[in-house]
Amino acid sequence: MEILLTIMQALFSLLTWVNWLAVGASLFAIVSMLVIIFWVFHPANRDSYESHASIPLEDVLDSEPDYYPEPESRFSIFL
Amino acid sequence: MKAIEPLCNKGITMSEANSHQQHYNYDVVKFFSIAACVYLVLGTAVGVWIASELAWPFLNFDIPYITFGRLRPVHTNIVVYGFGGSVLMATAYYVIQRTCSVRLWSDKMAWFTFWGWNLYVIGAIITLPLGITQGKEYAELEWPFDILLAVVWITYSINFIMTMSHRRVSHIYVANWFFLAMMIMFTYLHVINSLSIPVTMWKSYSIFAGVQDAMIQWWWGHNAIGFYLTAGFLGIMYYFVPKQAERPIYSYRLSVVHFWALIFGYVWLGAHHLQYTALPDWTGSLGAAISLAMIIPSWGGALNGMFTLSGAWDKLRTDYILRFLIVSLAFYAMSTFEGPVMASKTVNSLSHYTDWTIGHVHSGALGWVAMVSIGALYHMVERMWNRPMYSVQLVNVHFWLATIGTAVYITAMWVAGIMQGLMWRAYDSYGNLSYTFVESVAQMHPYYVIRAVGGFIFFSGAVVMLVNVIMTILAAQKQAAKAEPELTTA
Repeated sequence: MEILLTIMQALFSLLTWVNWLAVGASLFAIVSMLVIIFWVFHPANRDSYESHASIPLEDVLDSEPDYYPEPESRFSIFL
Repeated sequence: MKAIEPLCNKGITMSEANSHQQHYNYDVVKFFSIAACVYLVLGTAVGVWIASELAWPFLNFDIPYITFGRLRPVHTNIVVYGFGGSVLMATAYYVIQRTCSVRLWSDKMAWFTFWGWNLYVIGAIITLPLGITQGKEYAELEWPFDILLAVVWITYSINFIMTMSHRRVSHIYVANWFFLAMMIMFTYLHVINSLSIPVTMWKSYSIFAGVQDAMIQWWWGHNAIGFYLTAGFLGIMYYFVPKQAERPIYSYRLSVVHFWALIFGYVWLGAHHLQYTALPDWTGSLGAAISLAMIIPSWGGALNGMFTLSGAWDKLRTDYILRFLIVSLAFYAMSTFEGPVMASKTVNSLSHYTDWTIGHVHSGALGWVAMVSIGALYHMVERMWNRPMYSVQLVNVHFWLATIGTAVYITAMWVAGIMQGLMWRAYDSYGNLSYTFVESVAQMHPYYVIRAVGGFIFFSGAVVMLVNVIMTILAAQKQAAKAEPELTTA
């Protein structure tokens, strides 16, 4: 009986430790997220970040025409 | 392997980089794109067949190789690895070259990933009907294929990372961050989940057992969704939506926050698949709590994609590719709301083990993953073969078949799932179960028929796409053959 209780105690302490590991990791994630949000949305960093948004628009090759065909009708959502 | 001088430290702009003569490796991207179209047809065909088997069980004809239990993993492996994987490899190779303004680091490695990946999918198609399986969901293939998958995936990741390190522009565009996160996490998840002891060439036993096995299974299972089927496809979204809309992403800063929130949060969710099981209760609670928190970044990302169209919503009336991309975002928002709701213990007690889960998975798989992939594939096919699609009408037909098919499928499964859940928990005034299990099965028949019809509609759209892509390629080849003598004459 005593052995069983000891094992249960050990399991309980392990569970508690794992619980705190989860709580600690969650807190770490929340704090990291707050730091990232404050950094990214700081007015001083705005232009630096937003300037990267146009990267996909600037990767057009010289030989690449516009493939978007002129539609016959601007009001049809079907064909 | 061509040595390219990295210009990333010189801080040159994208336009300056583009002034260099570019010779991207589109051949491997083309092969992956065609493979994706073929696997979409194959995977959905098997899906329709097994959906029909559930509605009309005689369709298995008492042949063990085509029973639901054996064909279901064939369906999931073809759509997840065959279609999804081919799309991820095609788009990642396409996007990294264009946004870094540099050719793939190694052509040989790229081709190795193409043939290796297809060998894996063909292996699934052959071994799973034979009953050779580990029985681990989304990781059914036996150990030789696990090793093959790991080697191919690591090769793909190394090629991507090395291409990125030789980039000619200073900034790493956010789409590549998502691709990179997917590559790192998928390697980690796949290797840990596949740890097993082989006993013969075609049989192995997992090193995990009991509750640990269940925990590892869903740590893998949900993170495969989170990093492979979400992060990777968000990479696709962050490149192809702005590209097709011809406008920069609505908020680049929001995309960075979206990325980090996804990375910090997703790894915790797996336990929500095991509510009310032998797992410690707190793990399920934690999984559910973080799942609910994940609505914020997921919706942030979806809105970021949709708001990219701000001031240009009229494009949706006419741009046949943009429609796929925007509808995919609507489904992404919907399924990332539905998922956390289903993860909460109260809803989970009703929804778990029912067809509601199947509906949820397919709203994500068909509505989000397939739609964004199809949009990206049409976009790439036009640019790589240097001509518009063979038939715009067929693209539109495909769009409506895909949308209607998805809606029919998931609606049938919602109704079926909620009905199942309610029937299983109904008690009479004496405390006995009101319905036997088989009664709930009988009630499913009409919904299983509707699901098979919805799946067939979606499958028809995939066939239309394959035909349209083949005709576009043939037309491009004809055009090239015609232009060749003219050039020779000139």
